[in-house]
Amino acid sequence: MEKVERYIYAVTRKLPEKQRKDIEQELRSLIEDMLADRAGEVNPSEADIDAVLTELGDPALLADSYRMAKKYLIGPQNYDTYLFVLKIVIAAVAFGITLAITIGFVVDPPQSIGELIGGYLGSLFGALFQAIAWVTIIFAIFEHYEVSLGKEFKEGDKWDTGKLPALPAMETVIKPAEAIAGLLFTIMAVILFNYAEHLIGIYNFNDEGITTVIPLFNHVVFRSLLPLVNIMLAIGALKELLKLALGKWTIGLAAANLFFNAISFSLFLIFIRSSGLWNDKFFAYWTDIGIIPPDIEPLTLWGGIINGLIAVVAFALLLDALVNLVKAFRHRVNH
Amino acid sequence: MSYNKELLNSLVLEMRRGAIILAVMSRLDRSEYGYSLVQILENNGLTVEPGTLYPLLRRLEKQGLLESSWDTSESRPRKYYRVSTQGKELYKRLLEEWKILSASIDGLTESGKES
Repeated sequence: MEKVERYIYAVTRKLPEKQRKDIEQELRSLIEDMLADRAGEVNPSEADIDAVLTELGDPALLADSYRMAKKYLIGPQNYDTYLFVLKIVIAAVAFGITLAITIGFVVDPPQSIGELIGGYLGSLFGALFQAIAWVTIIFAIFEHYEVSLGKEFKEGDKWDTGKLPALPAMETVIKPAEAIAGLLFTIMAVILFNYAEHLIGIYNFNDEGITTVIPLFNHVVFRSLLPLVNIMLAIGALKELLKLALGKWTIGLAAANLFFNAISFSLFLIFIRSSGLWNDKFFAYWTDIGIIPPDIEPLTLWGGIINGLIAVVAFALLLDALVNLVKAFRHRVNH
Repeated sequence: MSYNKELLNSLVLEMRRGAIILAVMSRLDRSEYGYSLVQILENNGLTVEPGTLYPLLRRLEKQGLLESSWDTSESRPRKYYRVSTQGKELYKRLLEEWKILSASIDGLTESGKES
């Protein structure tokens, strides 16, 4: 009878804990019934047991039919979207890494071709695996919480002809190219700020090409603020993905856009106002070469520029939010 | 003419799925355990593998159409199923649907022969 227990174990071991015991017992009494049917109430032979278990079939298949629904990491509903997003992300990451490495190559030529290729492939595959992993994890989370992308209403809702999606008015249409460009830009920014932030700065040329870079940011402070930057960029990416999925400015999307812009602006403000963010040498350079007069404190001047920049960013984000809200509302009034 | 055996099997499987539910519910106005139900269906010409029936019984129970209880008084503990109140109502409607469907198919396939 050991074989019977092994069979029951094979069926139930991967089933949910809650049902396991009950299924085990029911299966055991079924097999005993089937054996009694074959052999009468005497001890069944090995051959009887084999025959009965063979009749019940592959334990993995039986376990499958005990499971209520098929489990997916990424189900058929979102699979196409997943592939679509994955392709874009892979292309953007490959492009971004190649760009960053090319700039790095120009700034600081490596010792040998081997080093260059090794470094390039290492960074490329490292970044690609990261990107693929993150996209997959996000979609797996969607699957787990049964989020269906690109659906207008939930399955259980009653459908009537009024729920047919409106033909998008021309001005509310979001061109996929626009969202994809935004996504590419965001991914490139992620790579730039995470891997090549020290390359943003002044490039000092001499006769043999570039020799030194004076970075704009203080490396240590910048690294400590990196999570902030990444959250900002993630919000940006999410925004573009939503635009891509919906394809037009709805009131919900416009509201989300306003919300996201507000968060982005707050983060941007915290980031840019952080003390010690800027590299002192960067400003000393301008005084050294005489562009900034020695009697003016460069950081004071820079503070003014930053204030101007904050104003411009605030204006741009607000404009983006409002224009799209207006589009969405006007579109709704028309229908 | 040859046809795709696998395709036929999957179509038959699909067709049988609803029919088996109907057959199971027709017999569970009194309590039966899984294997006795297999035999009852068998005796009425409907062969259903235990490996198909047992998971189905659990599914119907979870959907609230069947109720179950363990009987441990006999030598072998057995899980008995019977149709719930909700299941009874549903069974009536399901049977009507089946009859309509069956009549339609009969009509369609008969008229198909004539023309």
